[in-house]
Amino acid sequence: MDEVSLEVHEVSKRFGSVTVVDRISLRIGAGEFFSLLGPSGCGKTTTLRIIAGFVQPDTGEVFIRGQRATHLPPNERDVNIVFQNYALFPHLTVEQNVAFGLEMQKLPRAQIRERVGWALELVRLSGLGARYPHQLSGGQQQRVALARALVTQPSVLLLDEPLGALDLKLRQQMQWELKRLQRELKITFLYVTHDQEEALSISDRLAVMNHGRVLQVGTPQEIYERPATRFVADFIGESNFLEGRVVACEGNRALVQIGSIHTSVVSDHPLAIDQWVTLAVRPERIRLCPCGRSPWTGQVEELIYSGKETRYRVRLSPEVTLVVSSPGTNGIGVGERVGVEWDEPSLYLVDAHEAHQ
Amino acid sequence: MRRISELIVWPGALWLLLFFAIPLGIIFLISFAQRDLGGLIRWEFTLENYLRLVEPIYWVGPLGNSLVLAALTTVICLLLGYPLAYTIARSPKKHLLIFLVVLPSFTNFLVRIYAWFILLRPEGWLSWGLRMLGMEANLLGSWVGVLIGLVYGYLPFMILPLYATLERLDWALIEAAYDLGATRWQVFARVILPLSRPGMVAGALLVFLPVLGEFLTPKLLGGGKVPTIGVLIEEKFLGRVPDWPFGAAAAITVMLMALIGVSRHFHTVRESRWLG
Repeated sequence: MDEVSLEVHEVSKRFGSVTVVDRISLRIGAGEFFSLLGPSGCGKTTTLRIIAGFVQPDTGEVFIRGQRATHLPPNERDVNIVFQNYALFPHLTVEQNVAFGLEMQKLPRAQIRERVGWALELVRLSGLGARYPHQLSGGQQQRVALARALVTQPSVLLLDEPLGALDLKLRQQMQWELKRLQRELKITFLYVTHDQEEALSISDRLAVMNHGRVLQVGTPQEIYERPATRFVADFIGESNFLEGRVVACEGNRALVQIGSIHTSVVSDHPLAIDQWVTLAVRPERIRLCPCGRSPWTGQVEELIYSGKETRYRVRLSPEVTLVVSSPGTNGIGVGERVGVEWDEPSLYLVDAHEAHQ
Repeated sequence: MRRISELIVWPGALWLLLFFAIPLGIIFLISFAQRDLGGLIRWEFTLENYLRLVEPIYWVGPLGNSLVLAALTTVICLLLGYPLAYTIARSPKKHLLIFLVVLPSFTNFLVRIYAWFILLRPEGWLSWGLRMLGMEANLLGSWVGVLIGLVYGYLPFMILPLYATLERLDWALIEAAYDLGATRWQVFARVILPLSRPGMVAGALLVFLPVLGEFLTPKLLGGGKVPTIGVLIEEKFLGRVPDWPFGAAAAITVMLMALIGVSRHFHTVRESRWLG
């Protein structure tokens, strides 16, 4: 990260007895597309509003381009928001909406007209400048909101679930569009969403949040391949969880017993013998194989064919089932006994519990 | 469905026809008749009633007074009502507060104006208080007294539509304006004020129109010193020297003036969410 354009340091916010934001720290580089991902109520929108200046944090600091901004009012912060429901001014035309921020900066008229034209072209709305927001489709309103927030070229653009109100096709199209805009303008994007697929596909890096805390920060690959906690593993994509007991440790490796099978995992933290741990493996990392080839065997209980993949529910033991996803079909039917296997790094530790007494 | 919707229109329509349209038509006819000796009506066509209204003694006096009073009342109600409606709309206790605004209306209007009569007369404690402060106060029978009464009576009619508009104002729009760099004043002038225009127009109409024809307040608090068109009309019908045709012509004229004056605002009222 060459230049930090937004830094949030140990920020907390309580509403009554509820801690909505709990000591959050983030460093977002200039020109980065960064997402805050989490379920509703996880504090991501409050964090965004703290950065925008609409909510005062109880503790902690906000720095925008290295300048302390914690106590600046929203109109003095070099950040703009794209609101969830766009918040376009209904009494102003598209052009007047886009010009609003520039007029507040008291730019000369000619320059405002030029910049508004540029911004409308950027979001491909040239020619609709004289319309009023209610005369536009949802997707077009979204573009106006983007143009209005981008036209002043803020240091950071804050996007609060901006695609939430659009249908799936339009949402996917807008994701490409946002990527393009962000790359062309090199403005830092802070994107708030609860849609994990969206966050993975759109971000350079993301932070996964729950209960007001940041659980993990990383690239989409890091988050998906190596979820730091069980919550992250479950929230991002899909995971099978296996509970097991540590039977041996050596360096950063541990031997874990799951049912009657032993398997080895890597752990960053030291583990103790007899400690219970949770391991996770993604459905698409599991392969079905002939029974004798793997110590893990089970019976196919259910299968669902969905075109690009077939999903199997395989019962390994009375307590343990795995969901396996494999591309296409392979002639395996319900009731058949199969083996399951995976490459060793695909099974990883997501949670370690207190040792059982 | 269509038949039911046709049927449910009739009771109200009939009511308006019987008690509004037909009496109005009668008044209209009377306004072209002549005054008989003894104040009753002689059915002979004349335009004289309307021509008399053009005489300065009428349009500079009662008609002018009514227009000025209605305009002043509307402006004062707007200036007083707007901040109040805005504060109420943003208050967590808005339902209680708006109820308090309406609360005085539970008392008869005549009784409330009479209460002002008692307050404003020279021996009333308001005048007494002003005299204690060294101000010569004879509010009863003055323009100020009449204005006080009118503003008091019609302020809720300004506050209610303003409140309805402001209460539904999308707060995100205000945040968006701040976010784009607007100061408090710019947020108000560029976003809040234009968006509350329907409420202001509706409130202005609801104050201006009734005050234009108002006779009770000017009569009681004006003490004959603030003649308005309403007082004039009332006297022509119920006074000691009745002149129904002239009173009818004055009534029709006020109505037409009001209609012409506000017709271009009706589309704004239609847009107002308060009126649907």
